[in-house]
Amino acid sequence: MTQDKKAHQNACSVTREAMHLGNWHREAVQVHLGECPACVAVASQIERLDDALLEWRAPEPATDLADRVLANLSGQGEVGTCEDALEDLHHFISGDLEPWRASTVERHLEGCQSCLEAHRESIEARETWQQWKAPSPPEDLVERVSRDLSPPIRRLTRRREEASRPWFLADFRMPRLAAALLLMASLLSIGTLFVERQRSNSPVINSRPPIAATPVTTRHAPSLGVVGFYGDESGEFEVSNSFSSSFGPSRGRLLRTARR
Amino acid sequence: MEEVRLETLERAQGGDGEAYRELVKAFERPVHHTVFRLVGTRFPAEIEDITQDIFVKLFRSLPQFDVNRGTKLSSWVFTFVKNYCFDVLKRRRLSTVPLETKGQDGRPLDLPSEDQGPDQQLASKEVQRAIAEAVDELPREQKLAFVLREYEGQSYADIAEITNCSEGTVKSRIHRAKEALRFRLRKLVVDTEG
Repeated sequence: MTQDKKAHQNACSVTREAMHLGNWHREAVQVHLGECPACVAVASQIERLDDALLEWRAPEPATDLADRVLANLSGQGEVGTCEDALEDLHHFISGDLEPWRASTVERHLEGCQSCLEAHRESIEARETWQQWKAPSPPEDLVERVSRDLSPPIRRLTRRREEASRPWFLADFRMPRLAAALLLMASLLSIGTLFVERQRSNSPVINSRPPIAATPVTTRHAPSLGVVGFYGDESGEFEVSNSFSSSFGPSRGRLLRTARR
Repeated sequence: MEEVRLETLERAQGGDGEAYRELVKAFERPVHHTVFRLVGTRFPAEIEDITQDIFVKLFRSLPQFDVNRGTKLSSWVFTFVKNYCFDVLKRRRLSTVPLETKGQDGRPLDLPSEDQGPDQQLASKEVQRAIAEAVDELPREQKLAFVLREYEGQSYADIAEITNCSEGTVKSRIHRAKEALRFRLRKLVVDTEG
């Protein structure tokens, strides 16, 4: 569909809506009616429809309507139809009708045998269904309900008690497995720390027999002030302490880097 | 129906078992009787179990009852009973089974309860059965409105709240229910008089 056609359809729609609403005077409506024969035809139909609708007149109310209403409300009005009386019959019997309505039914019953018969049957039926007795509940019903509700009530009470405690007194409930794992992890870390500490404190004794346990110095290795240097007759030294455990034994190099 | 104090209700809503016990005592008769009249014809052996289930589930829903909304506790309880019974009828859509004459405790179902006064005339088994069947044949909305009005003494306004409709609709349903019973029980009345 071209843009022009769309625009025209849109204008038709707007114009017809305006006409239905009685907005004939709008300039846009008049302009469009000057251009669109289809909408002119529709305008003519709408006008005829409006005229026909105005012809539909409601009859005037009866002149004595107010009097009749008041008479009914005060119980002196008409007796009503059988249909109305039967519609209200059961409520009339159970005393649920408004007084003016009840008196209308009563007046009708005074003059209508078939409705009077229906009234008699209704009373008998009412007396019959009122004889339908229900058995008493079992004596242990309350106990049975209390028994069924004991577990949820206990859970609810426990939850409330826990919620009311300070956080540091809270009853932590950990699954056994989680507690066991936590314990194992704690022991493992303590053990690891202990081993590390031991390793760092006690130096490893290498295969060569130590000649001197105290720091020695030579012209190649001035005093290093590091415990645990062992020398041999060749004057070479091997570092075997925490350095060697981390970086591996390295003779000449280590001596130079360990120099203080 | 016994009155329930606000304090008791609030304690029961808070999970107090003793308070809820008082609430159950206050409502056990009307709930049991309503269950009997709504579903007892089809499931006579399950009335007590259904009543017990209702009270157990009611406890869990009790915190949702808001007394400040202006709804009566009795209306809320009957709404719960209505929903549960209708659910039972829907889930177990069986054809009407012959009325059984004995309940779980072995007592005949269709005899009046033992707390009836001695001067009251006891209805025959046939009358009880006929009434139960006639009421059971009513459409469920009519049956509910009729039972709540005639046997539990609920007002039109309360029934309208319980059934979520207007008072006019309640009156119309009750009228149609009674009119149907008038015809169904007509033969019974003639037979008993004859």
